[in-house]
Amino acid sequence: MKALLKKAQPPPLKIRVGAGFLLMLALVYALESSGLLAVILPSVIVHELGHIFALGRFGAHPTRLTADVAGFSLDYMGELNHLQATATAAAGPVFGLVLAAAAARLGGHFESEYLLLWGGFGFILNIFNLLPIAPLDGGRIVYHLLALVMKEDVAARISNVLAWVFLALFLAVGAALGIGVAVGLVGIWLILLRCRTCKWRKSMT
Amino acid sequence: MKLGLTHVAILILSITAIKLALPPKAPEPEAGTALSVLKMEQLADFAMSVGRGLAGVNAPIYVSKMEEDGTKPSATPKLKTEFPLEDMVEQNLKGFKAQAETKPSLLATVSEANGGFPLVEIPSAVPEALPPATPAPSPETNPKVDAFLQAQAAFAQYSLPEKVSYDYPVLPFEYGSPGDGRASSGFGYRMHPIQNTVRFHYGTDIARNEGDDIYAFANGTVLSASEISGYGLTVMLDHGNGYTSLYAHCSSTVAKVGEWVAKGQLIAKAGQTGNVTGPHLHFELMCNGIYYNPEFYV
Repeated sequence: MKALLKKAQPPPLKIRVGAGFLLMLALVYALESSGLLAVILPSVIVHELGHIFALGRFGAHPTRLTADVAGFSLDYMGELNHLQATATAAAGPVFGLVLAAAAARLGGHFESEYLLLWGGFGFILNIFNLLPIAPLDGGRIVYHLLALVMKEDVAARISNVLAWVFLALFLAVGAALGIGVAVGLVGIWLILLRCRTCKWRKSMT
Repeated sequence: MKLGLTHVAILILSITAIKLALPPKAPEPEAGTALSVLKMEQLADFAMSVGRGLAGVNAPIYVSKMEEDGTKPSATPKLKTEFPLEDMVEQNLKGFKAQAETKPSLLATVSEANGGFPLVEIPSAVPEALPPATPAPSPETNPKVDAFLQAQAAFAQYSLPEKVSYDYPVLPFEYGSPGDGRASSGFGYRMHPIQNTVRFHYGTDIARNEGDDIYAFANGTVLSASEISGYGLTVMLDHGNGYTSLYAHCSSTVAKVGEWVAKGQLIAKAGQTGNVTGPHLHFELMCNGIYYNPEFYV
């Protein structure tokens, strides 16, 4: 009886930090001097807490939080239907945006540059995550929404094409706005991510 | 690849050492343009402006005053040491317009007496008896200042407008020309080329062709790059310590708001937007809202 109960208890959330993630943080640390590093982690953690909260609501259990060169990703146990998966994918950006707005408001109220920077960065990060380019959250949302109304393989194909189209758009807009190098780097990073995670399934960025 | 804690510690320590060894801010004007995009400061500045937007919607840009050591306008106004840029531009423009209406009254009557003939010889129209209003040049002035004060003595019957100083303060930073070219119209009282009346000119005009490069006067942050009535497309830079410079009548702007620019960096292209007769750069130098003569420095 006791053994059975123990088995039913889900394992605790494991956190893995990869070398790529540390190298990225080191790169940011080397290039910046405006305190950006100090707001990246809080913003990302709030975002991931949104996903974790949503998973808990739907009875799934997060098993592993991985931070590596691809950013953060979340593995979980349990089955979600497409609607629940959509909500879970959206929960991160929504949580992030709400907290970013709150941080900015508080920053304006208490004249804290740190909170303003946190709010601004969190806002940019979460809007970026809503781009419909899988494995970004926006891409997942598009896929799961499409899968609600059509066959899964068709939905996957459409969201895949959409992702490449939006990636091209993202690069074009970046070049047009004259922020080509930065956007170009992010674009290359996204292309590599897409090639690497074409067979993504149960992981959440 | 297995990356241990020691590797990370060594990496972080070496980066810290490099950052401490390098001067905090000295991007090269040429190499900076391509590589500065990689600089995280831009992302941070962008994030900060987004944050400000979220906090107070369209919070105005604040111009830092005096004792502020940093070059960046800070997030929120600190009483007495900062004032909104919008107010400053507004006040200065109002001052500029008011000048045109009130000041030339004396000349207008003389001009009418002349049969409406445009008055060119201003010095002869001025009664000799009027005492020179310009102060005696202080011992540390240079020939440029002497020549300027002598030229302005012709307009002695006009009192110095508010927010203008003929002083020659030593700037607390390095500076350079915003663009080579003949000074086509100087700072101070002059015959307005369009209205043919005496008006105070708050900056200096530098003859430039359409599309010529305009460079930053000194290191600073871009306060604004937008259309201002009369000034046309205008870039304003904040050089810290309360100093700002303004570049008007541009055809296009290169520098973006909030961006940090180095002295001599390309910030805009010359043009003829606004109230002008031909393409030129109108260049102003201000400190805490007081106009200084930019010709002393270029």
